[in-house]
Order: sequence, then structure tokens, then C-alpha cells
Amino acid sequence: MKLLNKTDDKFVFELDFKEKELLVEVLKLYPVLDPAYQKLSDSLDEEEISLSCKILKEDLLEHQEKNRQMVDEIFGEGSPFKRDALHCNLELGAEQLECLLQVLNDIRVGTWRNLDSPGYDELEKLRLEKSDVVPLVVMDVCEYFEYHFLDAIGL
Amino acid sequence: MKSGTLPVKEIDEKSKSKERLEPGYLVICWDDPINLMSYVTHVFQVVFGWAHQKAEYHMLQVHNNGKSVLTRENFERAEHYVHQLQKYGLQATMEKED
Repeated sequence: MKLLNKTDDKFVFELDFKEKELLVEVLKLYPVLDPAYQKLSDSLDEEEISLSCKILKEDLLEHQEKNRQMVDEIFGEGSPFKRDALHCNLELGAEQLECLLQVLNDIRVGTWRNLDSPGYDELEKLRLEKSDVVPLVVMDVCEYFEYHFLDAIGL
Repeated sequence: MKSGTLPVKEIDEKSKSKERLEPGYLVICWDDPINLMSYVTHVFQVVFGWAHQKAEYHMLQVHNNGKSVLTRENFERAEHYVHQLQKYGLQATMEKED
């Protein structure tokens, strides 16, 4: 995958067919992160912030729903992929790129969370043991695309 | 009850409401082994409108110290920022300043 062209509000990436397939497949998993996982505070009185916590959860669910719709729009009819014999060009607007970054990160963090939030060492151990391969691959695939998208916006 | 004296509960509610308007709430981002450093920098830039250098400084604080106090706000604004950071999948909370 590489960035072919970039303007203020448009990014064009070149992907091979394997990359395209991986991206489309991994995005189907969204959303993974359970909004209930997030907490508003460690120290504030639970009763005092119960309404805020409820709003937070609803807000996160709504946000995931909006992102899901945008992903469906991006990869639905009028696909963003332009093909030639060997490669696909993926054209994304700035807002779409931002959405994909959030979506990929949700899948990574949610998958990590579903593994019981392993620490740095435990993650390494999981890799060496080659247990739970699928979630680790999912996380790696998301990371791969996240890096390329972040690189495209200059980070 | 003397006239002009508020019941204790009402006084509590009023002082809590007043407390919420004061900038005594810290927005903290916590380290985790999963969010990419460049992603965290990006999120700080988007949510707070910070320049890259400031966003990166706070990202490194999170990475090296386990957390970073990102801003000190009143209750409502602190809550807003926590919501925004969590939408991006970061581990952020708001805590009352000691």
C-alpha cells in the first residue's frame, strides 16, 4: 500500500488486491469495542455521574452507528476502488479517512480488550505461543492500515 | 425552620452545582499497550486543536509516565473532552483536582 496522491481534502492510495481484500474483510468486524468498557471517572462519586455515564454510553453507541454508516457508504455502491490489472486505487476524502482511522482503531482496541487487555509482555507471549492467532492477525491488519493512513496525514 | 435558611440537601445541591462550574476537573489520558503513538498524537491534535509539538509532548507523557493531564476544565467541558477522546478509543477519564 502506498500513498499516490494527496490534496487538502483527498487521498489516493494504491493497494494490491490482497490488501484490498484484507481491508474490506477487517472492516466488516466493526464495531468491536463495547461502549460499556469506557468509564468516565475513577474517583468521582458514581451516583453523581450516573447520568453522565449513561449519556457517554449512548453517545459512543451513536458514534459507532454513524461510523458504520459511513463505512457502508464508502464501500457500498460507487466503490472507492478504481482498478487496473494489478492494483486498486482507493480514493478517500479527509472525513472518510478520519472515519476509517477511528474504525480501525476501534477494531484493534476492541479485539485487544476481548483478549482481556494483555500488557506489553503478555501480548508478546501470546504471539510466541501462537494461541489466539486470529485476533492477533486482526490487530496487525488494522495496525498496518492505520500506519499508512496516519503516514498520509503526516504523522 | 428560620425563614431564608435552606435545607441541608438543597445547600449540598447548590454547592455541588457551583463546584461543577469551576475549573476543578482534570482530563487525564492513560497509557495502554494498544493505541499507536502517532494515533494518540493525531487524536490530541483533532480534539484539542493543538499543534503537533504539544500533542506529541502529551503523547510522550502518557507513554513514559503512564498518564498525562491534558487539561483542567469545569465539569461540563471536562466531560465533553472525555467523550471525544473515548470516541477515538483512548482511555481517558475526568478526575476532581485535589
